[in-house]
Amino acid sequence: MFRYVLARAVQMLPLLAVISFLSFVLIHLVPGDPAVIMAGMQAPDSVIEQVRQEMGLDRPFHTQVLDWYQALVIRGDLGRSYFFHAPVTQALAERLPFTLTLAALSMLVATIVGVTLGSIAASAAGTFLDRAILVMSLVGIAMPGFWVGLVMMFYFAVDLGWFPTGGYTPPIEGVVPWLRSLALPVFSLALLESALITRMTRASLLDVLGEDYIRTAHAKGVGHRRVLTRHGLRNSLIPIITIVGTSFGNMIGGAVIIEMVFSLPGIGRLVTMAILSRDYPLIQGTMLVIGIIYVVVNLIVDVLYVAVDPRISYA
Amino acid sequence: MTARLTKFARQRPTGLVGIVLLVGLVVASVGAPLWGLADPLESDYLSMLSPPAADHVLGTDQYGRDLLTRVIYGARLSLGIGASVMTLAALAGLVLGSLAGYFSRLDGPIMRGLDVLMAFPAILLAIAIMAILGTGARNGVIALAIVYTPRCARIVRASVLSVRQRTFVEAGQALGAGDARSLGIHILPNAIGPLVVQMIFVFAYAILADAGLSFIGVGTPPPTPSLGNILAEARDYLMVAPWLMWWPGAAIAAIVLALNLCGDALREVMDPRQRSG
Amino acid sequence: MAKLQRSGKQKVYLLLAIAAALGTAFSTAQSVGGNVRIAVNQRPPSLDWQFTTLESVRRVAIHVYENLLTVDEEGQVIPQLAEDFSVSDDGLTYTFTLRQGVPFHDGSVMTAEDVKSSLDRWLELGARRAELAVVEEVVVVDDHTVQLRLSAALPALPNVLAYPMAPPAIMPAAVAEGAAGGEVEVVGTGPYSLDSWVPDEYVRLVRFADYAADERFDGPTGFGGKRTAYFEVVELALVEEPGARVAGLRTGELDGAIAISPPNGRALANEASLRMVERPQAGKAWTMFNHAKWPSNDVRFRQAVLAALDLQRVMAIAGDGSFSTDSGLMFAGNAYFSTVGEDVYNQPDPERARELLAEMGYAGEEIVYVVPSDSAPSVKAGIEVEQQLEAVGINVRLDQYDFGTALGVRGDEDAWNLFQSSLVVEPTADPLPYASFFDSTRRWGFYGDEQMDVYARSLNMQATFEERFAALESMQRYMWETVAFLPLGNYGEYIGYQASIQSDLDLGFAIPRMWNTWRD
Repeated sequence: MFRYVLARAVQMLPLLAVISFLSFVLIHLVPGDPAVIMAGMQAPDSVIEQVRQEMGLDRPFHTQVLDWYQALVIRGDLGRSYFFHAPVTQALAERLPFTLTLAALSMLVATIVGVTLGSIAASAAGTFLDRAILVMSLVGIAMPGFWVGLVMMFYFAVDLGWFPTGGYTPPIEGVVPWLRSLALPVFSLALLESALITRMTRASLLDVLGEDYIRTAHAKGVGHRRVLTRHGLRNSLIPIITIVGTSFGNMIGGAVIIEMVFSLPGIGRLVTMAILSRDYPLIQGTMLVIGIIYVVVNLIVDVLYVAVDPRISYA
Repeated sequence: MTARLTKFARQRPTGLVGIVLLVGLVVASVGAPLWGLADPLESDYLSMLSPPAADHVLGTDQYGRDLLTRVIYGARLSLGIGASVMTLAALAGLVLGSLAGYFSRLDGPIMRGLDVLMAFPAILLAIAIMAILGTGARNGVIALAIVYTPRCARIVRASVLSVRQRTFVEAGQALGAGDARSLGIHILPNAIGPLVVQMIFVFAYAILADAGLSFIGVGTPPPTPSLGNILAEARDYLMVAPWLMWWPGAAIAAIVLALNLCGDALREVMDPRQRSG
Repeated sequence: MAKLQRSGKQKVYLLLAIAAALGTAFSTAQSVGGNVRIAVNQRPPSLDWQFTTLESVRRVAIHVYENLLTVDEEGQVIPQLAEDFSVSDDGLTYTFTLRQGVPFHDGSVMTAEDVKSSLDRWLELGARRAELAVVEEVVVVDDHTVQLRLSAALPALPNVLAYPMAPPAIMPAAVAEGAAGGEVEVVGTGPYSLDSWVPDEYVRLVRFADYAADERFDGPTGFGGKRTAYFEVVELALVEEPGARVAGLRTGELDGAIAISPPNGRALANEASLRMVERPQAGKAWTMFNHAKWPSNDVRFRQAVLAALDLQRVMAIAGDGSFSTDSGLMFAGNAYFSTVGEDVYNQPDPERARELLAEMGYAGEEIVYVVPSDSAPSVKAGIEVEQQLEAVGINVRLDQYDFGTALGVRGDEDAWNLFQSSLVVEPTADPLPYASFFDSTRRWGFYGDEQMDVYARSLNMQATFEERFAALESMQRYMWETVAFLPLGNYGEYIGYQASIQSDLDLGFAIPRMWNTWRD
C-alpha cells in the first residue's frame, strides 16, 4: 500500500512542475505592473522604477523563473509576497487551514445530505418522495452558489440575525460562534455538490440494486434496509467517491467567490487578490499549493477505490 | 413522429418539461429584438431603481434601465456564451479525445496536458486566462472553452477506447481502412452520443461559471447585459432594490434547470440502463 | 510610603481638575477603553506612508504617524511635531525647531537626528519627493533644531510638507535608515500604534499610552491639534463586498463603514441606531485624454467630447443620485475653489459636437475608452459617457480592466484614447497635487504641454494665498481652453456609524478619524 502511494506521488511530481511553470508564464503574460499598484497611480515614474528594482522585476524573465525554482527546491522557499511583506509560505500557512476547513465541512455536509437523500430516493424509486428529492436536487444544481449566499446573507444574517454577515470566528473563541460564522458559507458551497451527490448516489444505487446478488440477498430473506446499506451502498461507493473527489476541487474553486461574498480569510480570496495585484510570488505559491491539493485528493480517491473495491489491486 | 413524442412525454415527463422550458427560454430571448422591448442600454436618470410598476414590469436598475429588457437580453447573451463554450469545448475535446484514444502514442502527452488544466479549479483558471486576454464575452468564451475542453476530451477518449476494441473496427482495419477513415466512419459516430450528453452539461456549467466570473468582475463587462453581470451590479443595491437580485437569479436557475432536465433525458435515451424516476 | 501616597493623590486631583476644565470645553464623559471596528473597502499595499500615495494607506497612517507640519480642519498649514519654523530672507533656508519630549512607539524620544533621517529617507524614496527636488540637504543644528537648505526658493514648502498624501512622516532614525520603500517598520509618534496587520483582513491599532498630545491646541483639528485617544483598540477591517458593509452596519457588527453607496445610505439613514452622513463631494470623476494618439490629440475632438456630454446625467448616474457638477479643480467650499471654465463646462450641444467631428475629419474610427472595473463611480460614469458619445457618432470601444491592468494599458500610448479615473482631492486640501498632476516632465507620457508646465510649476512658487489662487486659476482656465483633461463632476457617497459613536471631530469627514472619538 505504502509503495503504491509513494509511486503515485512520484508520478505526480512532473505534473506539479508543469503546473507551476505554466502559472509562472501565464501570470507574467498578464499586463499590469505590481510596482504601479504598490506605489499608487499618483507616484512618479522614477519611484515606480525603483520599486521594480526592489521587487527584482527588472531581472530577465528566465532568471526570475530559475531563481524561483532554485529557492523552492533547495530551501523549500516560495519567495516573499510583495503585498503581505511576509514569506509566501507564511501567508499560505495562515489561510490554507481555513479553506481546507471550509471545503472539508462543506464536503462533509454535502456527502451526508447527498448520500442520505440519494439513498432515500433510490429505495423509494418512482414514488412522490423520489420525485420531490429529484426536483430539489435539480434546483440545487441550477442555482449559482454565490447568489444563494447573498440571498441567505440578507435574510438569515441581516433580517433575522441568526448568523454573522461575514468574517470568521476561529474555533478557539468557542465552537458555537465558530459554527455560526461558517454556517452560511458552508451551506452556499455545499448546495451544488450535495445535489450532485444525491443524484449520483441514487443512480448508482439503482444500478446496483438491479444486480443479481442483490436479488439473491433479498431472496435469502435479508431485510430491505440491510440490503441497502450492506450490499447496495457499499457497492455503489466507487462512483460516489469519484464525485466526492472531483467535488473537492470544485469546492476550492467555489470558495474563491464564497470567501469574497462573506469576507473570509481563505486562499480563494488570497489568490484572487494576488492575481489582481500581480503579486507574482504569491500567485505562484498558491497555484502550486492548489495543484498539490488536487494531486493529494486524487491520490486519496485512488487509495479509497482500492480500499472499497476488492477487485482493484495496488498493481 | 407524433406517436414517438407522446411516448417520450409519457415516459420522461421531466425531459419534456425541460425541452419545453428550454425552447420557451430560447425563443423568448433569441427573439428579443422582435418583442418591442425598450433599449437595454438606454439609461434614464429620473427613474433609477424604480420598483416594479406598469411601465417597468420588473422595475429598473441603478441606471434607470428596464430590468425586464435587460434580463431577456442577458439570457440571450448567457445562452449564446453557453452555446459557444459548448461548441468550442466539444470540438476541441473531439479532436484531442479521439487523437488520444486512437493513437496510443499521443495518449500520454495529451492526457497529461489535460490533467494540468484539470488541476486548476475552473474558476481560477478562467480568472487567470481572463486577466491575460482581458474581459469581454469573446474572451470569456475562450477561457471557459479551455476550462471545459478536458471534460469533453476525456469522454471522447473513453468512448473511442471502448469502440476501438470492438470487432467492426478491427474488421474495417483488416479490410485496409486508414486511420482517418476508421476514426471518422466507424469510431466517432459511436463516440458522439456520450459527448452530446456531456455537451449539454457543459452548456449549463458554462452559464453558471460565466455568472460567477461576472460576479467577481472578470466576465462580460457591463453595460452589455449578461445574467451574471446584472447580478454583480445589483449586489450593491440588494437592500433597496431586491428585484434586481431575484429576476436574473431566477433566469439563470431556469436556464440551467432546463438544460439539466434535457441532459438527463438525453442520457437516459442514450443509456437506458440509467433509469429515470 | 504615606508621603508618597499623598503626593500621588494630589497629582490625581490636579489631573482631575485639568481634565474637568478641558472636558467642559469639549465634551461630556468619555473614558478610555473599548474597541471600535470600522469597515474599509481597500487594502493598503504597504503601511509606508512616505512611500505610498493611496488613500488606503492614509486611513491607517493618520492614526500612527505625525509630521513636522500638518493641516487643520480647513486645510490650513499648522505645526505638529515642529514647535515653530522660520524662513531666511532669501527663502533658501527653513529652520524647524522641534517639540521636546515626544516619544515614539518604540519608547525612544524624538530628536533632530530622527527628523533628519526621516526627511532624508523621504527625499530619497518618498512618492512625492520630486516636489522638494530643490532641497539640497537636511542639517541637524542641535538636538531640537533642523534646517532644510534649498537650491532655489520654494515658497509653498510648508504646504508640501503638510500635505497629508505620502508626506515625510517622522519615524525613529534607526527605523528610517536603510528601510526599503514599502518595507519600513511602522513606528511613529501618533496616538495609536500598530498592533497587527493582516493585509487581506484588518489593521489593528492600539492606543499609545505615552502619546504626547500637542498642548498648544485646545482640541483636535484636521489631522493635528491636541489629539486624545479614547478607544483602546481601533480595527480597520477590510470588507470589500459593499453589501457586507451595509449588512454589518445594520446588524451592529461594524461600528462604522466607509464607501456606502447613496441608495443604501439613504435607506440606512432611516434607522435610528445609525448615523449616516452624506458626502456629496466624495470624489471627482475624470476623463483623461491620450494626447499622443489621434484623434484625442486634436483639441477639436476633445471639445467635441465635452460638447457631446450632458454632465448632469452622467454624474446623476455615476453618483447614484448623490452628485454635484462644477468646473472647479477643487471642491466647492474649499478656499481654492474657482468656477473658471463654467462657460464651457456642461453645455451639452450634440450638434456642435458633430460639427467639430466633421471639421476634423473624424469618420467613425474606433476610440478605445479604458475604464478601471474596480471603481464603481468610474464604471458608471464610463458607461453613461460611452452612451452619450455614441449618440453623436463617436465609435467607442469600452474596455474594462482591473485597476492594475488598466494602469498597465494606460502606460502604452498606442493602446487607448480615453481613460476614466476618479481623483480623490483631499477634503482639507491644498491644490499642490495639481502641480505635479499637470507637469509633463514628472508624469505621464500621454500628456505634455509646455504652456501647462509653466502654469504647473508656478503654483508652488507663490508665497501668498492670493498668488497661489491666481496660479491655480490659470491652470484651470488653460485646462478648459484646451480640454486637456475633463473633470466630469463630483460623485457622492455615504459614510455610516452606529449612533453610539461620538466624536469631537466631524464624523462625516472623508477619512474615519478615531482619536477624540468614543462610544456613549
